[in-house]
Amino acid sequence: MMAFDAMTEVGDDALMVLYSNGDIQAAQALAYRHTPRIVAQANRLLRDQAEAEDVAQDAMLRLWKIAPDWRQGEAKVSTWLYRIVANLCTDRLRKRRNIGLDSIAEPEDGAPSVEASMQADERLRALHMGLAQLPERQRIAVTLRHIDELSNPDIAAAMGITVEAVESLTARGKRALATILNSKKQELGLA
Amino acid sequence: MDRKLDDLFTAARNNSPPVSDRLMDAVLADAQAAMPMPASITAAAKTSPPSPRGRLRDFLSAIGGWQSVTALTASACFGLWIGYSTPENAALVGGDYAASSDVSETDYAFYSDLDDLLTEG
Repeated sequence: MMAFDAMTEVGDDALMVLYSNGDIQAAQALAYRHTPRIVAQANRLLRDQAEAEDVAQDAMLRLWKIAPDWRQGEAKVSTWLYRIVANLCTDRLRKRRNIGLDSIAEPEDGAPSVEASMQADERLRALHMGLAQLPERQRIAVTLRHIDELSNPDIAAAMGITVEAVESLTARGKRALATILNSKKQELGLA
Repeated sequence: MDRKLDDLFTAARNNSPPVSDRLMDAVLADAQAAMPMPASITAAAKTSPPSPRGRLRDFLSAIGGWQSVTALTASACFGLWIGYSTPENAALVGGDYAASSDVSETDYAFYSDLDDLLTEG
């Protein structure tokens, strides 16, 4: 069994093989590498930290279960997880109805002074409200492209669509988002 | 507006809350519970238990095959025969020549002649 420190240099595909062969430290490396990212992704889509953590745990459980059948080189673990998380979030979002501004959680406050970051928080809140108003696929594509910074081919793989479709979704989504935020630019200091 | 929007995206990216210890513990517990059996153990478990015929073949192979078994059986039978046959000359083999009831005076005479031969060279 490899030491956990040595695992940080090992690729995801190799870690999947090691885990399939009973190496729990490979699972630790995968968990520490991917869980924070997918929690953040789920949180951006759901705006609910507890739900985002549930989704992340579910997605990672699916990763553990598919490990013995993982086909090396066919898909990236990160892209596969983004796809699972996007689908899980989509399912949860469909169960929600009439998302309004009040139902969107306040952004996490990492700054020492709430007063100093009030406007920044308000902008983030507006951004997430704007994202929530986008059609589902546009919202996912814009989030993956502009916040998670995935490449268009990775987004295409994650969403199961073509790169051209990704380009179209992100372009239309960003335009729609700008229109939504434009109406609030005075109050948000975006003017 | 595009630059302002990009700034917002950046702010959103940097606003991710840290992952809780509870979540990491749960994820790792799931990993432990769902961990597949190692391939070597799985392969061993999938093979059928050895049949009695297979065990006999293994045993024969270990002791050198059917030829060894034949030789061993012959040796055993011969040893059995020796054990059951009358031990008429057992005393002779042991060197207790005088104790044998079959020794006659003629035998002593033969040994006397032999002694003379050895002495005279």
